[in-house]
Amino acid sequence: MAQRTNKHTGLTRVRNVIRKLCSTPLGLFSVIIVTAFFVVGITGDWIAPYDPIKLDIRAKLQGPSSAHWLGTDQVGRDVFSRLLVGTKVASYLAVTAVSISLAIGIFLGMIAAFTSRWIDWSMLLIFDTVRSFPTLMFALAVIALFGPSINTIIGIVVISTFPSYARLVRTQVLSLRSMEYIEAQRAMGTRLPRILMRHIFPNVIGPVMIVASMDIPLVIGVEAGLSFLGLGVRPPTPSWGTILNDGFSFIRNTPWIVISAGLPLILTTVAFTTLGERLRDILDPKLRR
Amino acid sequence: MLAYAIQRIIVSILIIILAVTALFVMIQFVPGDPANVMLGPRATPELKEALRERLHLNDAFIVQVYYFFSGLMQGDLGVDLTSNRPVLGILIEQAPFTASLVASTLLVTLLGIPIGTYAAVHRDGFFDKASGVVSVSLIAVPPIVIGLYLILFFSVSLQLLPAIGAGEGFWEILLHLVLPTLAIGLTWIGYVSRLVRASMIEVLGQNHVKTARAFGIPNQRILRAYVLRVALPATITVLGVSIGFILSSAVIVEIVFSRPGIGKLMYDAVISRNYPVVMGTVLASTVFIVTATTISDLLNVMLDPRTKDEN
Amino acid sequence: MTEHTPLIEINDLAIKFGSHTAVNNVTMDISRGRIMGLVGESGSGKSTLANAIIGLLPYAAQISHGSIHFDGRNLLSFTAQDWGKIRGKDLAYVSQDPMSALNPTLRIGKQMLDIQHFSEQSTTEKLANALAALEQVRMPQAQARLSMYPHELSGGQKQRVCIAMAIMARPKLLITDEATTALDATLEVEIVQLLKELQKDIGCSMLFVTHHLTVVEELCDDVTVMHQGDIKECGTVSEVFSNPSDKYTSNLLTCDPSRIEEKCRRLPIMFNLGLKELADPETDRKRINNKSRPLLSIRHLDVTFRKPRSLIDILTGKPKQRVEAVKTASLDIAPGETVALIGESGSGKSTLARAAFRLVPSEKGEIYFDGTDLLSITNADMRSFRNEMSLMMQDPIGSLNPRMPVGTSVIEPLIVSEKASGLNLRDEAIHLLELVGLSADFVDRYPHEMSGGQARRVGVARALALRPKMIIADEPTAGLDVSIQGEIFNLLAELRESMSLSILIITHNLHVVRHLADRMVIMYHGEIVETGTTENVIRAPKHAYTKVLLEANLQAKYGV
Repeated sequence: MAQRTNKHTGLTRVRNVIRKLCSTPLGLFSVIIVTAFFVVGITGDWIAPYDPIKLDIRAKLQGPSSAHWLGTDQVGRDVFSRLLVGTKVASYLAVTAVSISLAIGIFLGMIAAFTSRWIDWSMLLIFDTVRSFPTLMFALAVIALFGPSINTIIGIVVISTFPSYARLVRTQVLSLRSMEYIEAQRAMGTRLPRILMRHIFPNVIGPVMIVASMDIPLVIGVEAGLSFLGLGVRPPTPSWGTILNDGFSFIRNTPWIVISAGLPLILTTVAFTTLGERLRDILDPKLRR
Repeated sequence: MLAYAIQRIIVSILIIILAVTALFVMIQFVPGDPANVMLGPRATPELKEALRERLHLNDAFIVQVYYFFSGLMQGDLGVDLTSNRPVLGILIEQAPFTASLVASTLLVTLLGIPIGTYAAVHRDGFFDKASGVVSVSLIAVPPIVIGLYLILFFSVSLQLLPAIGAGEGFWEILLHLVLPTLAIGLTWIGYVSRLVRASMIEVLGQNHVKTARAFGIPNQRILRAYVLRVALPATITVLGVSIGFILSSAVIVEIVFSRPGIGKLMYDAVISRNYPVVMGTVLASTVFIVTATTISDLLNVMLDPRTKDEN
Repeated sequence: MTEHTPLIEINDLAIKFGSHTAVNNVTMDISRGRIMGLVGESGSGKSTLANAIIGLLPYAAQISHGSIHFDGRNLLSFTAQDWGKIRGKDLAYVSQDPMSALNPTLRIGKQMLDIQHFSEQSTTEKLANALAALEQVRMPQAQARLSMYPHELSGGQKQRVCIAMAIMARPKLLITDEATTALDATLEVEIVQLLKELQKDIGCSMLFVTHHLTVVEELCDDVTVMHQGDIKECGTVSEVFSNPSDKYTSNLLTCDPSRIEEKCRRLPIMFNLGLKELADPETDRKRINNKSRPLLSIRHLDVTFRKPRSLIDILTGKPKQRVEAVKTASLDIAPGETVALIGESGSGKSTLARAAFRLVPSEKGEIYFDGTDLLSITNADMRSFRNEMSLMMQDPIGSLNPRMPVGTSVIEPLIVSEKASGLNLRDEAIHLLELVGLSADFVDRYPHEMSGGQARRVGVARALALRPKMIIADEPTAGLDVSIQGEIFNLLAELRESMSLSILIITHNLHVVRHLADRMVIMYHGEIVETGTTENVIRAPKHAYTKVLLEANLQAKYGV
């Protein structure tokens, strides 16, 4: 412990956290699923055994077989391939929407905490206003006006999640700002940008990242919901939601499509939640030691 | 207390005004001619002109603002483009279906409180661990997946519960509520039970609970007045926020279960570009949500006299 | 049981937290009608032992063997029901932190009703009991308090409520766990007096857990000294204090700055009693340069806080509430001089220090540093003065960035003032740490991996990074064990001699500062009420408040 050098501590910490994460079965499970989610999201197009949008009417609505592991849908497309490729939409959305939202949220939260009372107050009012729109209804309204597309979904997710991040960051920054170590920095004449970047940001980012990782299921759920309603990703592009919708029409005769399209949704959402909870247990300073 | 309540209500009104303004501005940003958007590209010029006239689209911006807000003041949310009926009337007609769904979901969500309490009191016991695993698995699963799986299991395989419509007559209505309620509520039971457990464990370790124990106050009384009472405000806040999410999920669930209601109304309106109805619905639900969070905030203050405006 | 057996008999008791032993084979008795003081430094296991007696050990604790008998009954075999019958009746408990000891959501009266759960009386009678108890602890406006919530009371009032609740039971044993630690010295004296009277009234036994030797001497009949889970010594107060048989106890007594009458240049510390060195007026005189102008001169300073108005206040046109934290305060510090600014919590002493660094805005007055008025210069100009004076914050660990290794924290002032170029920063950090007596491997430690005393040393190292002319130290010894207080004291004393530092120490603790300070400045309700050399202030205090403060702090036996 004593002989570490500064440069290694960051890496060692990350490695320690990952080791702790993998030390429980649930933690290991979540790490594996989350990794698989992103790997399949990137490589889905190449590893899929069939062309996910190629029609083959003769092979429609087949049950699971060695040729089609999860069967085929109403126009004979391989469900397993469609699910693999559908991961792309989910992971792309999860990454882009959450990171854009995080960036905006952190930026605005810091501004709110470090400017005048009036600006802070007005920003809070705006955050609360945006938060009071019901996500899916707001989404439907936006889609009604601007038409469905993946960018619309990103926009909707960003708008409906950034206020929570901004609020969280603001509260964290405010409580940090009155901490003695920040006051000590001010006493020695540290400029505001340095205080923000060196002393506040590193202490804020942890809790926010944990909340963000637990929001990824929400993003995936919104996409699945909208695509299910036919207002998200346009067919024939496969996404978990559109596959669910395909299966829903034949739920009484060929339930395996719905069952198999639901599984990746359940797995990833559970994995992200577990990961977030484990991370919080490991990183929460109150539980450390 | 009273001062806080008044202040909180003023803020809520401000939020509603801001939200309405935001929606109005959003409409202004629609690319192209709103009449085109609403009626589709194949509408005749006469039809479009008539619509423009009716929606005051030909007037100056400021006049539109005036019509919009003065209409709102009188409860005028506009007119349904297909049936020509006032949107408010349609909303009132559909609201009970959604309201009953939201109410029953909230009721089911309350189950999380005893579950979380029991888990916290018997910490690390079997029930705690089991409910923990189940809750975490349920927390994030989208209601659409739960809904579809419930239909598969209870309606398609077991044929126990109805999966379509809202039913008529008390028992039928109740039966038809079961699956949609569970589709939304299961995740919330999990969430609330985890939250109650966490805050209970925190409060159980607090000094004042130790003091109460040291005075031999009976366990039941300690749990109710010294632990739950202190732990509950966090839960109430979450319940207040949950109403928004439940309402949001109702859109999906109403469509999956072919239930009438606000969500279904809105979906149909979106598909048919009936946008006074779309806007009216968003507006009404926003007002509903703001009211719900305000009430939960006020409840919080009543339970915990320390709570003041933290902003 | 007979009157001759002890009320509490603890036999060979061991308590573990996981693999860590908190209480190690302890055997101890508490006699009937006597007050037992249980003394020890942090981590000695004294609170764990007290918790074991009342059956409220933390979740992770486990009793591995031994027994506790109360009035002849084995407490360790008690069921929840058995506990319910004796807690709040035969056993009463006053907890460590009065601020958190009461249920924040229930009115005081309601809580005092709750603890009479075993009584058959009517609610009116119970309320009368509660009122009587509050009056017995001399609670002002007792009737009105019953309908108040805890957050509407001050810390001292809350502690009175807790004591009232404890004595209402008329217990056989009253356990108080650091019941006076969080209180100011003057209040502490009052509460100790109160406890003494009440104990006599009820005739109960008392277990008084504390780290404060002087209070034990004042209050207790018997004393037990604990160290790292072991009992070091046990006996009557007069025996133990006058003639300790154990080395640890005698060292502890020797090291306690409040027990050293003469002014010291160096204090003895636990592992080196020979360090003690008496102050020499001649060297002190040489150290202080009284001929030139003062290094820091605060003239008629006013600091006022305005509470932000809530929305409703703005709408109703209510004016902003003003709190005058510092009122026309004046204070000089000569080069090389050490001045102690003494006052109780809320007296404005910390605010005065913050104002000197422009961390809070001053309303009126001047602050001259080396002849320049700090309040009339620009922020950029102020920056250069920040290199010449350093502020040490109160909380040793909390004043360090939790995610920054100590070595980086220590050289922050160099980087911030852009004096880091050309330096090997790691070497500089090691050098600074060694200057305050820490080894080089502390460079890579994080604040939470250190003890309070070590973190305090790091704080001193950081304050010295720019070789300032003056250090303002806010409560440099608060929260540290008595033995560590001496170490920090010696460190500051050495540094001021080798680096010719001016030091302003802000504190409520007279014991340590009495040895270190050349002059004392007493602050009360935002005003400076008395200034003088340490000797003069202690010997002949002028202001009434100073007299009260001295009496409370330095017990009567030093001939104050």
